[in-house]
Amino acid sequence: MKAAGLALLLLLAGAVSAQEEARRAAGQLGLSFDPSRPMQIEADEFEATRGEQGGDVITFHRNVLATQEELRLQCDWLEAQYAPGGGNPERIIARGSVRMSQDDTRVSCAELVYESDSCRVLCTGERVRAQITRGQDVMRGREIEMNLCKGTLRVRGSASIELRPEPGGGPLEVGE
Amino acid sequence: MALCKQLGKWAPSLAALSLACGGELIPVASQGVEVPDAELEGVLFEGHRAGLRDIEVRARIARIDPEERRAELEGVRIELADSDRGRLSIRAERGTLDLVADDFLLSGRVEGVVGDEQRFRTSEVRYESERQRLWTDQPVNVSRGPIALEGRGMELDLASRTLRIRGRVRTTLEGSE
Repeated sequence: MKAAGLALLLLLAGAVSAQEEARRAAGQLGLSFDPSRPMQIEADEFEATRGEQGGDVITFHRNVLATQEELRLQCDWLEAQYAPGGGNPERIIARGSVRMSQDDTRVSCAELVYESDSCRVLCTGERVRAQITRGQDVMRGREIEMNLCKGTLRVRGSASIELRPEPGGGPLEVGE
Repeated sequence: MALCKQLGKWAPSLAALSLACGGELIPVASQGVEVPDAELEGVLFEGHRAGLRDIEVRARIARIDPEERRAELEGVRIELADSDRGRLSIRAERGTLDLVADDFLLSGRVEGVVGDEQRFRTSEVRYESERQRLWTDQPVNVSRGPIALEGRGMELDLASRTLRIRGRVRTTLEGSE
């Protein structure tokens, strides 16, 4: 199985900070979202209100484009939920034609949820399965779960992997 | 109904001022007497709702129009109080104040602070007292905590403190370590 095109399980060791380790792990997935760094967001409309727990809830509507360095996220609707006192968002939810890309990694799904405390990104499909593409390799499933701190990737529900080896060879498909 | 109080130098008759503030004096105009417009300096207007002062308007100069029950203001500062959510303070070069409804229009380098978390700058802003709604359809810059935004069109619901910005909003979410 060609393993170079897709990042699977990784173990990191060494005397590096937890954040640096997380960044390196996320980089192995081809995605390096870092909530501690600035993110630019554009949309047709913005709304900010207080959530039930007292923290800010900010929402972007229509033609949303969020960028952080080489990372791009496009969707129809994006919400960031903050704990009381501010800081980094605890949770980010993107809905509607969600497309995320960085370098040669592309993710598409109906809904994407990022949980800060667990470093988890959950991408779910509705009528069309969620999909992650890196180079020519494609993974699809009802749910794609990525852990940006550990660099792990799980695909669940009608999961399939399409690996494209060297030019001239046919695709190798593995699925449920 | 808004109450009026004036400080500093003023020139009009008390009747004219009372008329402009919806007072109970018999309208002088109905007696065939022409009521002059009034120009006041160093003015403070106060509005009350349910027995509590909820709006305070200070102006360097105020020109009272008794017939329209309106004041044209220069060098304006307005404060709207909310005991639960903190104050809203806005200043501008010019303004028009509805002395009965407490609605206002401010223009010219409008700057506002909402509570201690949110600031905005725009060229013009309007306030509808009945709906507790502050809004503009002009370009606006807003900062709310770590967020800085620019857009065209803003609406602030003072009851819920919900803020909406329209017109291709751009913002940067600043992270923190």
